[in-house]
Amino acid sequence: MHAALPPIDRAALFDRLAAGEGGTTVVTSSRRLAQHLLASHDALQAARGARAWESADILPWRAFVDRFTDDARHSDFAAGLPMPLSTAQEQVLWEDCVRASQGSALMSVPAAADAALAAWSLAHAWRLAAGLARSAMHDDARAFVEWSLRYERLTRERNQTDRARLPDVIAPLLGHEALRKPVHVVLAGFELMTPQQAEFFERLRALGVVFESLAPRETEAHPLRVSFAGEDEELAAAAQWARERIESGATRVGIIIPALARSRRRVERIFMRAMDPGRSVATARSILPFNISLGRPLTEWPACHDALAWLRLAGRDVTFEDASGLVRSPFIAGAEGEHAVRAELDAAVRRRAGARISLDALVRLIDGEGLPRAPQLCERLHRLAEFRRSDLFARRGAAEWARALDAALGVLGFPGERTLDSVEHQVVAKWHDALGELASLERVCGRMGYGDACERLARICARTLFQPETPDVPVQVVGLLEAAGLEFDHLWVTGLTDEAWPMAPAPDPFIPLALQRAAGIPHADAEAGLALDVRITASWGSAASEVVFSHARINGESESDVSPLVAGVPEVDVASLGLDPQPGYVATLHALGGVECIADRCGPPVDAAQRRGGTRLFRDQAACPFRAFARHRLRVQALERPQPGLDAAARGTLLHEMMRNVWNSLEEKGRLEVAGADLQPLLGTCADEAIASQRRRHHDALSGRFAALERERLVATTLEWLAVERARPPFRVVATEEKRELEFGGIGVRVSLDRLDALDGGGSAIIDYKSGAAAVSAWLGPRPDEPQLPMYALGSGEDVRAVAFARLKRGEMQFCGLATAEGLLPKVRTIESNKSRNAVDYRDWPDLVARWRDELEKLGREFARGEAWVRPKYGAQTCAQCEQQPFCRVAEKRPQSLDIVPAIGNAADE
Amino acid sequence: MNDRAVADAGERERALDPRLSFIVQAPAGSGKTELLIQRYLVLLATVDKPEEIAAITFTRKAASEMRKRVFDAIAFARAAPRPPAPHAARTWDLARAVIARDAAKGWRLQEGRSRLRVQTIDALCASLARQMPVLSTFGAQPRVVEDARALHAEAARLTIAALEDPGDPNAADIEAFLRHVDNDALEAEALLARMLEKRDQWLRALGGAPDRARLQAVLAALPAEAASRARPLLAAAGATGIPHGDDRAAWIAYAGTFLTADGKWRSRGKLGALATSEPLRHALRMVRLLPGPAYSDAQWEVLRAIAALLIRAAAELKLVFARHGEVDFAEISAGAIRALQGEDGPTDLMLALDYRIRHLLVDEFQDTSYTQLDLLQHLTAGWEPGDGRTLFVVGDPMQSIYRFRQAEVALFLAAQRHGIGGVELEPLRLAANFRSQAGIVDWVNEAFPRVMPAADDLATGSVRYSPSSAMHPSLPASVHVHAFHEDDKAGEAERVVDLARQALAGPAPEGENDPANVAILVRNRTHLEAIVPRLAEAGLRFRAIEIEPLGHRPVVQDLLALTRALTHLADRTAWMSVLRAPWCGLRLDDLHRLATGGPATPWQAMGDAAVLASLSGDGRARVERMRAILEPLIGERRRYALRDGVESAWLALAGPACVEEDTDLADARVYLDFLEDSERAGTLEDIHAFEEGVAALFALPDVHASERLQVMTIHRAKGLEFGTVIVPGLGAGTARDDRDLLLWMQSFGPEAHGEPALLMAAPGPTGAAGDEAYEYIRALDKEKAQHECERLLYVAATRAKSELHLLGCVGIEPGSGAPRPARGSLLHTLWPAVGGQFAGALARTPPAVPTAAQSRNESDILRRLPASFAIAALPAVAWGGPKPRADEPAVPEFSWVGETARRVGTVVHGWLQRIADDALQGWTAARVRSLGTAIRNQLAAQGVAIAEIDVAAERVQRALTATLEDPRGRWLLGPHPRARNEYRITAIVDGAPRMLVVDRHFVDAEGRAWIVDYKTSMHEGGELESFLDREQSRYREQIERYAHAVLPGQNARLGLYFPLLRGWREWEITTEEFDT
Ligand code: SF4
Repeated sequence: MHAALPPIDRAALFDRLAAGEGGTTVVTSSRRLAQHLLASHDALQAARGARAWESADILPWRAFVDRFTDDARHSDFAAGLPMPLSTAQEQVLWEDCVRASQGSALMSVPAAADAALAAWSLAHAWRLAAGLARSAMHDDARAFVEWSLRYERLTRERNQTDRARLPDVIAPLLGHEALRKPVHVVLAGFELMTPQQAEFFERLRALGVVFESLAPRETEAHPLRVSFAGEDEELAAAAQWARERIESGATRVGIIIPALARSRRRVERIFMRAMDPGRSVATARSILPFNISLGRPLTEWPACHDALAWLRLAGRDVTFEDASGLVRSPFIAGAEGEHAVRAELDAAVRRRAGARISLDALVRLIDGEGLPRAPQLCERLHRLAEFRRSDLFARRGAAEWARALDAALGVLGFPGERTLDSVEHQVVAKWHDALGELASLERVCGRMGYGDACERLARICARTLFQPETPDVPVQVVGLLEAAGLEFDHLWVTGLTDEAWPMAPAPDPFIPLALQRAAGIPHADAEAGLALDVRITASWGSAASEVVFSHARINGESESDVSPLVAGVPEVDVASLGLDPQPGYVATLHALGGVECIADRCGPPVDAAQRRGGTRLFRDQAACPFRAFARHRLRVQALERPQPGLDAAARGTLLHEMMRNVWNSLEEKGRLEVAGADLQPLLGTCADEAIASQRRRHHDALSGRFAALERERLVATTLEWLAVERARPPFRVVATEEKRELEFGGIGVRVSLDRLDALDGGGSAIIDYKSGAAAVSAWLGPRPDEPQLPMYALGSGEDVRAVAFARLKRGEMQFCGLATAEGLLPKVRTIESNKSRNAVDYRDWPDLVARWRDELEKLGREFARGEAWVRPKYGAQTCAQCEQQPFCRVAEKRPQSLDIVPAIGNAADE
Repeated sequence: MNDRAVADAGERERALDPRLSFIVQAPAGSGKTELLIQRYLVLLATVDKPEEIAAITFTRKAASEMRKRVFDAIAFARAAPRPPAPHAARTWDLARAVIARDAAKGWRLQEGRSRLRVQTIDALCASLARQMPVLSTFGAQPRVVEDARALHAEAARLTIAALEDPGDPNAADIEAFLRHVDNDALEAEALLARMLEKRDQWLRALGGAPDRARLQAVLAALPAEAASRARPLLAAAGATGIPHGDDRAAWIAYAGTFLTADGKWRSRGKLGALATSEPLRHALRMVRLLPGPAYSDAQWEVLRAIAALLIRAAAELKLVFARHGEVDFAEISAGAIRALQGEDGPTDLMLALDYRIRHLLVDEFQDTSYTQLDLLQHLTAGWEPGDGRTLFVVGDPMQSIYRFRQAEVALFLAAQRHGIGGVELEPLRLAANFRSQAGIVDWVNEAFPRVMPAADDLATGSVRYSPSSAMHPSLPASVHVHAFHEDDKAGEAERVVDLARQALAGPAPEGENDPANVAILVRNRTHLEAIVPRLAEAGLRFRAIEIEPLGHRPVVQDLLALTRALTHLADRTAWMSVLRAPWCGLRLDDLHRLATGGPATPWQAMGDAAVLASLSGDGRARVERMRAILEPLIGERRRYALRDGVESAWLALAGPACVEEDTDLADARVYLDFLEDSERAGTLEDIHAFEEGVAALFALPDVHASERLQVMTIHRAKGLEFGTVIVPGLGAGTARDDRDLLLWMQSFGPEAHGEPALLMAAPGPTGAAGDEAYEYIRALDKEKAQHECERLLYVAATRAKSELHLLGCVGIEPGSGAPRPARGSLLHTLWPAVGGQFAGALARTPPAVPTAAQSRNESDILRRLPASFAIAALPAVAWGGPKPRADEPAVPEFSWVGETARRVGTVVHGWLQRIADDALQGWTAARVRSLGTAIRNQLAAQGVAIAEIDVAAERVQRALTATLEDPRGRWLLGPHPRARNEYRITAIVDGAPRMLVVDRHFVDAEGRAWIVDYKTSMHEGGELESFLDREQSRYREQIERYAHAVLPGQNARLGLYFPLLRGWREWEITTEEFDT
């Protein structure tokens, strides 16, 4: 139909519209084209000096149909008209239909419903619906036929209709005089007219409406072609080009980006940086002169994202990281005033939380003792938890849920105390629309649970594409399909590689391909697609007076060629487009350089009043002075990552507790022999006590069946260990977990010792439990790795005959240490008989003890002095588990950051 | 290509027969891509549609290269005359045939390039699944993520968390499993997650639930298998007393006379020559490890629980996939296979795809996996010999090095023997080598038969060597070994640098313009630790391909710290790092005051007057600058994309001025792009997961280095060639290997045609002795890994065109004083071929001089920008755009009551417009009453809740009736000259055109022009008049704006009509004149 219509050119059309006589309606294929024409018309009016004029009647196809529908709804036969379903309602019905025949066999029923809805629209637009049942030969097509039969029946019974069928509902009514018809219709952008549209227009023409079609502009540009190494360079050049064109006065610049949906964010950023290289996104308020045609799902806008996340937390447990994000969200009450303290609270709670967390658990945690207080947050969360119990359960209708969800967020003070900016304002309005849509589902589905309601709301939001309103700007960035019919002063089409253009066919999987091909659906097969793409390519040539095509030669790992459809366009150098290459802000700054180097290896000495610490301080000082300075002077700690179950440290602590309990009851080896095989009850009690003592910190991991399993582990491990103890000569446990105050190099240390045994032959042994690796070498040489046993040996005041780690690793249990004589502890030998590389330096036990003291004194003095050298003892190995890497800047100090073990000796201690 | 007679010309020609199916073994340098292209061209000339040929490549890059080469060949044949060289002429002829076919069939190939279906197996699976959404059971195509570890971990976590649910059917299994791993839930989760990554293997094996009898049958058959492997080797070695049957105990005892418990030869002296055969030692070791013929109940219980748990975890994973709308590659393949299984045969597939796949070409078949094989079998189901459909697979089992990606070389060997599915494949073997000079080819021919096993063996993944014949003549320099004493990494590194330097300085090879390029290839990145710094010190710039982790780059660490600081005020490490980084460079004493001076978070301290006063003057200035830059970003958090925020801060802080190399800027971009991809809604949902993601990225190669010197792993070098290849680190041992939760093996009996039998085993409990069956499979796996090492060496050696250098450190055996390579090192594998040379070289190498490792004595240096650093801003775009609106809108008002009122208003407006259009003609209260259903439908369509619809409809009708009954209403809606309803007018408002809609405009009997708006406001209680006054002032500006637009320069009467209140307000203004 379209081709046969008398053409009218833009100027004539605008003149006619400007005359203000009415009676002419311009119908466009897309909303964007309608906006574009309207803006062009209005610009022309304004340019002619008008201050106000009767609005031009330009509207897209959908709105055109809706206008007739609205008339019908005010007519005498309004009562009998079928009710149109909203998209959200349609989706719910399709989900029902898919579920009814496919059950739970499909991974994602909602996704299938969306695809079915798309196929349904296609089938109606292209008049394939009738032939479907007959020609569905393969399983997928048959499945779709089954779903659509059900859907059709459901909607018929309820006298409902949908978007896809609305034109067919209205077309027969067009003759009725209640449906007011324009005198003239000018069609724009209908190069690809569906049979459904054609029939609709045909019907209007039969009723006397005069049709014309907007002619493409005559001017033939001479397109040029450029290529770039990569996509980023390509986009940056297009953006720079657009900037220069508008700076020299252009008012309509078009950029077509085929893969816009995939690269939207990148495109937006590159254009922003081209238009305002040094822009600070937090302070800049100026309006940038480009607009990107595609919205992003509402769920990706922070306010909506957080609102949904809050609702999820009010339902069931979520990951700790999700909860953490919510605690720090700016979209609830008190988020500004308590910003810092909430962050601190989060950091503290991380040490106690599991990997997943429920609302109640979160409330319990933030109420915990000794944590930073965020009163507003506490209060709101308590109220939410109460509200949850009183209002967020049972099965209800969608409208009821919509109100309850809204109220739940109200309890939190959503959307927060910060004044909304204009984008947030629009997002919140959209959010309310989404709640309204959820409410409207009551017309298509029955009662549902809370989780289901939240899911449906989330889906509505995910399907809502939102884009903040912008004023009319000169640069339009559009995708391939939105570009139809648009005209510009300058047009640049990017991404024209041989892979992207012509487009690969993308037939609908639910409609038999033969049908699609016969109907001429574009992109159903390669041949039809090619023909269409050739046409589109040609239309770009006349869409502006300057036209540029481009492609990137490298795409990820592979190389791309130029699209064969534009290969014939002469390729030119970028420079010949008159682009003035800009170094960009990054390069400009980089060129300035100017870093200076100063010596800075020492912090202030430790205040006399604060010269104390734990054994960990010495361990850190030995490993790396900077680490000790950062951890113990600056209190720099990493954020913890809550893990499922018990981490290694917690498991170690439990075993320590267990051992202490056991020896507090047994006291001496003799008792161990006496108790014999029947240690079980005793061990059980000890394990229970150990678990009880840790439950507050690890609530989830030490409750219920997890606790029972842990108890089992503790008992089994202990039993295995006691077999090692049984092999010892008689001994008596003198102290467990005893604390002593010692001092080394001016630093007071509070040493906590796992165990002190009195040996049968006199003297004592110092024992430290280890669940991980343990080796004697950790005490030897300069800067001992594990200084606590030497410390205790020096400070105990006892006649120490042996120091040993008790290795509690299952399957590898043994003592591991040094003694003054052989045989005091199983497998523990004297320093003289130890032939390891480090041990040969030591003459005997007294020498060992004396050198321990030297080393410890040195470490203490270093620390007291404020020494903060970046000197990891074993190089990269030491740094591997250290959270200070970005702070100490060790990476900067290694060439190519591959590791050289620095020689570290006593150089730090003159 | 060389014009020497090509040794395998006959095979190459045969491979182009379009009626037959082949499996081609193509050793390194044999030009297999060329052969694939030719075959593709041959096939193209025979098909009806180009889509009927599906070519499968290993990588996306290979796909695009292959497609390009096909088009290049066609373009060449179109543009150039037939070349004289026979090989090129052959390609030209084939391409001409394609051109003719294209013309005859109207394909327009040149334009529709995507019609050539050359793709990776993943892409093929995705397209199959997309066209069959129901059969693949996805419902609709999900997103495919390359790194799905987070999803696997989530599924594993949820599986274990099910323990808390007492009603869960798997609770007992979870408990058994946790007990098995010593109740280490973290470890349990990691194990499960790792298993989920390779579930495509075990899931197909597990099927529903493991069947004890079936599995034990395999267990019982193991002795026969192991015996059959050992017997010929023993016989060949001249052993006596070999057991006759395959009794397990007898064999174990017999093997025990040769080997110690840990698999070493008992005593060389006694065993003599027998003890030199590595294959025999392996075979006997497997005999010693033979597990008993049945699982114990305890073993079985664990295996059963783990299997049940794995199946559960896989089900949980599907739910996780559904929730995220994302899947991994394995799921897409599985979906494609499900779809193909569900189809009722090839016709259905054709209907779904719109074409029939007639020819399949598969490249790199040696690295195929079971899943891929499955797919091929389904795609070729029902193919008959001679029906015009062909399968063509190409690969080199000697180059199969992707076990860690589930590649299984045995599948190639099996396909050579039995074909694939029902398709018989004729095996072809290429032998010509077009890459390396004869010296290298000859050396490889001589060395590798001694390194690789003498015969193919499916069970152990053994591939025997297949020789090549050189097409290029011999050159003087070819293969060199360089031996170093144990731990002399420095010496080795030094030599690598020398060799590289020499090679780079060498002349261009004959017949080529550029000097040859050089590659340093290593098995493992860590083998470069000593070399890379030496190269840098020597001033050699090189391209390191995927060598250095991105997260090690200082610029990336700084950006990461900035990211963390901006997203979390209490991340102290991040904040301190940001303050210490070169852009701020706070000294330790100032940092100390800031950290300990008062407020808890550094951010608060930075704004605390007392803390600021305690800082040094320079420190204070730096902190204040920092605070000024970050303050808006913190205040406006979540209003910008995080990447943009970080980048803005980085620019404002002059971050780019703080780095030294352009490569750093490129690395920064890689980081920022990754941040952009990872952020959601302006934040990072899981900062730790994000950091793990960063850790998995690699820094970019030096942007200023040429291609001439490259450093990469051997895996990465596959398919590439270099003039000189240097392979250091051959003496280094291997890293530990992970213990999997479940091991399984395929048993390839001689009948291994159908589904191979499968054996499974679980490890022993933590801390206890290993499970026999598990340890057996593990040993077998190790042997497979060992064979892969052989192939890795082959790949490394065959990259070289003219020179190959092998370097390694060798220890000395304490007793004999003989050199002995470390176990597990590549040198150990290569020893049979180069042992003599190495020993000789070692004897000539002086012992390592222990040099004091140099410390880069910069560890007390702080790099930072001077306080005076400043930069002028770059100009923003100049355009006459509007100023942003200053007025910040208030919180949008929303209430459910308000929404309904708004919808009522809309419907009332619609009807009033109709009534006015009819100028009251035919409008009575009775007619309004009859509109009930129509009005309710309208309200419903607007979204009014079912519960409110009656009230709302009643209100609409009341408004209409009231208007009709009100004289003023009748006057308003009645006939008037120049009356317009819903009058749309566009006016310039605040400099931009804006559309205004006037409810009613007319000229009354006195000639006064009216502008009237309807308001459906409601009001309860008294004070109606003052309410109306308030409404009037609320709408005054809006109505007057209408008047200015509609009636410029005139007197205008303005009215507000309130049908529900029977209210009315009117006033008059004189509008402005237009100054046109
Ligand atoms: S990362 Fe290494 S150098 Fe830095 S503080 Fe930690 S241990 Fe020291």
